Amino acid sequence: MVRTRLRVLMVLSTLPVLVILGRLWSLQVDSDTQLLWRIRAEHAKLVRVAPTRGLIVDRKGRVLAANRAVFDLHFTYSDLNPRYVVIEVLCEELAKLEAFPPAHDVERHLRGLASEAMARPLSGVDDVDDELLLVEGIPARAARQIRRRLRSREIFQRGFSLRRSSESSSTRRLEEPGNPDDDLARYEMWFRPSTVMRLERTLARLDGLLGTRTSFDTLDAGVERALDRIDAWVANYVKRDREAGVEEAICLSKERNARRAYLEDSWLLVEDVHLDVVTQIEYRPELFPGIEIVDGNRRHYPFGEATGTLVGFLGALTKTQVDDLESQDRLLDLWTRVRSAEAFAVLREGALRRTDRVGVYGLENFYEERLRGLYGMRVVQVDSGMRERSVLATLGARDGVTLRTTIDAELQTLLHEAVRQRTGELGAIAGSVVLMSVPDGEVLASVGYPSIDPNRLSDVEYARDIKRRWADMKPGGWVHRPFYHALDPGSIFKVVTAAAALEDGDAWEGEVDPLREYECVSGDARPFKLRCASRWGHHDVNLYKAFSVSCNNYFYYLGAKHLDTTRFDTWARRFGFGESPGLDLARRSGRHDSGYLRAPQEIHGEAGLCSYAIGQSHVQATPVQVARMMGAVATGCDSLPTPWLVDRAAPRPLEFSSPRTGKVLTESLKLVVSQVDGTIYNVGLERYRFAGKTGTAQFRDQGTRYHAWLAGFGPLPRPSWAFAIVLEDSPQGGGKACAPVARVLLDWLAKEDPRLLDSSLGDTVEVER
Amino acid sequence: MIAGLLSPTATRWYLLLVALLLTVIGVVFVHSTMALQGQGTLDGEGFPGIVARKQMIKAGVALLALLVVVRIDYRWIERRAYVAYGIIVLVLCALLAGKILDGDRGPIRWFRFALFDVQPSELMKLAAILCLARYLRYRQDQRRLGGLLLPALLTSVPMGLVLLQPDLGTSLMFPPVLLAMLFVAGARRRYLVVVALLGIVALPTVYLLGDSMPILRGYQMRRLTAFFEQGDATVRGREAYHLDQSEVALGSGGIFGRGLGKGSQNALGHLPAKHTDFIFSVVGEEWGFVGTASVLGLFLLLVLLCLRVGLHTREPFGRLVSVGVGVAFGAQSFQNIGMTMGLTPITGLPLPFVSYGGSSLVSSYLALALVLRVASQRVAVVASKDLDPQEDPVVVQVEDERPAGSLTTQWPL
Repeated sequence: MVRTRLRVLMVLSTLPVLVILGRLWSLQVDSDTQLLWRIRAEHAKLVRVAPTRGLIVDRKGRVLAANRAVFDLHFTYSDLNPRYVVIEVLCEELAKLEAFPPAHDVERHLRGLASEAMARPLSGVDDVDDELLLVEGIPARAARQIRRRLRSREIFQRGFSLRRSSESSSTRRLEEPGNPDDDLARYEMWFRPSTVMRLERTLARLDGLLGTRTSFDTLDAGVERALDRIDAWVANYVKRDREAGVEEAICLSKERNARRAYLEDSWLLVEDVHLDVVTQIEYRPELFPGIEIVDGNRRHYPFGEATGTLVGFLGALTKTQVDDLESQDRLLDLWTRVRSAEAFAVLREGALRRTDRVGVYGLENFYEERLRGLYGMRVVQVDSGMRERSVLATLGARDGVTLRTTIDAELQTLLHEAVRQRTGELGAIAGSVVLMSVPDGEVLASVGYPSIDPNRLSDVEYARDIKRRWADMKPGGWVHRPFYHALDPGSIFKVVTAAAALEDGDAWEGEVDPLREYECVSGDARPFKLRCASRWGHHDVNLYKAFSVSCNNYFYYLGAKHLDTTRFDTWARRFGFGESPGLDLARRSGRHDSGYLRAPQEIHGEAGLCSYAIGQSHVQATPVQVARMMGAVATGCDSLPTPWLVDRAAPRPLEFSSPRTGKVLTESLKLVVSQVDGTIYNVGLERYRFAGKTGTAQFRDQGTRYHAWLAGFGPLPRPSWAFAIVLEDSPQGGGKACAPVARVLLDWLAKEDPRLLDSSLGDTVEVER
Repeated sequence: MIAGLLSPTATRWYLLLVALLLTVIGVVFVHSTMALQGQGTLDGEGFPGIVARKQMIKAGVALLALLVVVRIDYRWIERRAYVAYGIIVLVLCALLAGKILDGDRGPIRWFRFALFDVQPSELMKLAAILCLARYLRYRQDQRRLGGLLLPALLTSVPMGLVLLQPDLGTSLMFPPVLLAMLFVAGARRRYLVVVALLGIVALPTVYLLGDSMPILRGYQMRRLTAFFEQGDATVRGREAYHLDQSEVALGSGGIFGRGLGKGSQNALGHLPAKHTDFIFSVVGEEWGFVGTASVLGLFLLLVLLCLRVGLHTREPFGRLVSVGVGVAFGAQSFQNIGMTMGLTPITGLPLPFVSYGGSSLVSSYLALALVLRVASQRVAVVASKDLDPQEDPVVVQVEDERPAGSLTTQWPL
C-alpha cells in the first residue's frame, strides 16, 4: 500500500508541473501576446523636448520678444490633496447604490464643514483634532467596499473613519464595518481636519511665502481651474469611445485611469516666482507637499507697452484649438504613443501640448508656426524609479526662427511716450502713429496707445488697473489701434476726393476748375446747408488753397458737382480704403482692419456726397490705411505701398491716367505745411521738408471733440516715408493736437535722414498752377 | 550499464547532480540580476560579480553542511528529531518575543550575526519533517481521525509561529508536507481529501471575510487581492504590480529568451525581488520557455527522485523523511514558480537552490543531505508485510555504515 501511495504521490507531483507548463506556454510561446509583452518590457517613455521659441527683433537687432529663464511653481494634485482619492471612492461606491453627488461637490462640502467648524477661513486651517461628520447613512455594503478599497491608504487610515450609526449620536459605537449579518446597518464617514486638509495648509503656507503677489483664494482658484480642465479633458478623452458604442464599463475604467494619470501629472500654479521663494521651498519641502519647482522659459518683452499690442503675447490654447488638435491627432498628450523618430517627425508638424502657450495676439500670433518651432522627442527606457536609463530613439527639437521686423524699437518707444504724453495733456483717450517707408511699405513704427505690457499680464494688480482704465473705451488697450481701429478720417480724405476729381471728374462747369479759384464766403456752401470750417469763409480758393486751408466748401462742391458715389467708392478703394492693408498681423473679422466704406447705393443726395468728400460719415479708415494713402501720394500716385513687418510685400501699382495728379496732390500737401495759412503751419513743424494734411473728424459732441489726424510724407522733394498720426477724442483739431507727436517723429527722422532739414534741396514740385 | 544508471543507488547521484545544476543556474542568474543593479546598462561586471561570489560561498557552505550531514547516521538524527523540533520552536518563540519586546511591527524573520543571518523558519521546515517522520514512522492510529490530531498539532505550532513573524509563504509549506506524509504513513484518503479541500477553500474564505475578520495584515490582504482580482486593470496597476511585471518578464522572454543579462525587466529594475523570490521570472525573460521548462523539469526530477528514494526505502522514518523533503521541495517550487505567473498568491518564498540567500540554500542542502543519507543507508527493518509468503524472497546484502563492523544478513524484500 505504501508503495502504491508513493507512486500516486509521484503522479500527483507531475500535475502542478503540467499546469505551470500550460501557463508558461500561453505566456511565452503564444505568438499573439508576444509583441505586447515585448513592448511592455521596453518600458519606453516618450519625453517631449520643447523647442525654444524664436526671438523677435527690430530692424537693428534689438530684442522685442525674448526668452527668460524663470522658476514656476507646479503642483501634483494627488500629492497636494490625497483626501480626494477617499472622496472619489466614497462617491463611486455610493453612486452604485443610489444617486449621489459627484466628488467635487463632496469635496466642497468637506471644506465648508471644516471652515465652519473652525470658525475661520480655510486659509487659516490649523491643527483641529475634532472629527467632523462628512457623510451619513452609508449602506453596509458600500461601507465594506469603501474600506476594502481604501484600507491600504495612509490618508484613509489617519484622516477618516467609518463608523456604524447608532440611534443616538452621543453614544455612537466605534465599530468597524463588515459584519455580514448586519447588512441593514448604516455607517457614517468622519474626517479629521488636521490630517485631511493638506491642500489648504500648503496653499496657506504658499500664500504667506508669496506675499501680496497672490492670495490663498487665487491659489485655490488655480487648483480648481486645473481640476476643471482635467474633468473636461477626461470627458473628451472617452467621448469618442462612447460615441463609438464602446462598453460603458470600459469607458468608465478608461476615464478613471485617465483622471488618475492627470491628477498625478504636474500642473502650473504660480508663474515666475522669486528666487527667495524657490529657496524656501527647496529648504523645507516637507512643508509644501505636492509642490514642485520647475524651471522653464518665459517670454519677456523688453519694450513693454511700447510694443505690447504689436508684438503681442502668448496665452493658453482655447478649447476649440484643443479640439482641433485632437481631431487631427496633433495633440502631444500623456497618451501619445510614438516609439520611433520617423513617426514622431510626422506627428510633430503643428503638434502641441495642451499646456502649451501660443501666440494669441500680434506678431506672436501671426508668426506662431515659425516662432514656435517643432517639438523634439526622446524615447527612453526608464527604470522602476522612472529614471532614464537608455535612449531608444531620438529626434531633436527644431527651435523657432528669429523674426527680424521692420520696426525701430527706439522710435517706437519715443512715439509711444509722445502719444501717451500728448493724450494726457489733451485729455484724449487714445492715439496712434504709423510710419512706413515709401514705396517699400516697411513699417518703421506702429504705435497704439493705450497698450498693454505683456510682461505683466499675470499681475493681478495690473490686470485690475487696465480693466478700470479701459472700462469705457472701445476698443480697449488690447487692440493694436493703428491696424485694427478705424475712424472717420475727416479732411485727410480730401486727398481721395481731389484725386478722383482730377482724374475722373465730370467736365468742369463754368469758371470752376480745381485749379482755378472759387469763392468760399461766410462759411456756407450755398445752396447746401453745410458749413465750411471757416466761419468767415476762405474767399477765393482753388485746389491748392483748399488743401492748405482745408476748405470744406470747396470739396463739397467737388463732391457734389463733379463726382458721384460710385466714383468716390472706386477711388477710395484705389487708395486702399475699405480693404485690409495686408499687413502681416492677423486679420480680424468685421471692419476692424479694412475700415469702412459705405456702399454707394446707401449714400443719398448731394448732402451725402458732400459728407463723403470731406471724409465724414461714409468712410472710416485705420491709421495704417491713411499712412498708406499718403505713401501712394508720395510715390506720385505711382504705387500703393503694402505695409509689412516681417515678410516683404510688393506695392500695388496705381493706374492713374495722368502723372500730373500726383504732382498736384504733392504740391497741395506741401503747401499745407509751408503756406502761412496752412493747417500745419505755425505748429512748430515748419523747418521740416515734408508734405502733410490734417484731419479733424467730428464724431460726437459736435464742435467740441474730434479725432485729430495729421498725416504726411517726406522728405521733399523725394519722399522715402509716409506717416499718419491720430489722437482720438481730442478737444483740438488735427494740426495743433498732433504736432508735438509729429515733432518727435520728424526729429527722429531728421537724425536718420538729414535731407528732412536741408533747405538747399528745394521743395518745389513743378506743376501747372 | 543502463540497469546501473536506473538503479536505486544511482538515485542519490542524480539527486546531487540536479541540486548542483539548480545551484549553478541560481549563481548565474543571481549574477545576472545583481551585477546590473543600478547600472542601467547591460554591460555589467564580469562573472562572478560580488553577489554571485557571495552566493557561491553560501553554496560552498551548504555543500559542506551536506557533506557533514550525509555522513551522519540518520537514525541518530531520528532519535534527536523531537529535540531539534523543540529547540527550533523555542528559537522561533524567542524571535517572536524579541519582536514583541522591541515593539517592532514589521516582520522579523532572521537572527542577524556578524557574518551571516539565520532564518529559523527555514530550519523549522526540516525539523517539522523530522519530527513528523519520527512520530508517524510505526503508527497505525493515523488511520483514525483522532490519530491525525497530534500530527496536525505538531505542524500547527511551528506554522503558527512562522505565521506570526509574519511569514505567510513559509507557513503555507507545512500543510502540504503534513498531508503528503500522512498519506504515505497510511492515513485514510477521505480525511486527507477533506483536509486538502478545506485548505483550498480557506484562502478565498479568508479573502472574502478579510474585512470583518482581520486575520491577515494589510499587505497580505493586498497580495490576496492581487491574486483573486488579477484581471482587473486597476488592481494590476496597484496591488498586482509585482505579478504584472513578472508576467511581462516571462512573456517578453518568448521561446528562447532575450539572452543572459539582456532582460530589460531585470536590468531596469522593474521586476521586484528579482534575485530572490522572482528569480524564475528572470530565467524566463533571459532564457525563455526553453529555460523555464528546463528549470521546471529539474525541479520535477528533484521531487520524483526524492520520492523514488522513499519508494526504495523500507525503513519508515527514512521513507517519510524522503517524502516530506520531496514534497517540501515540490510545494515550495510550485508556490514560487506559480506566483510569478499568477497561479498562486504572491508570498515571500525563495526558489530552492536557485534564489539568493544562505538560509534557504543551507536548509535545502541539509534536507537533500538527509535524503541522500536515506538513499545510501540500508537499515534493517521488519514489518508484518515482510513475512508475507506470497512475495518472492529476494536475497540482498544490506550494508549498514554504522555501527562499526559489518552486518550481513538476509531479508526478504
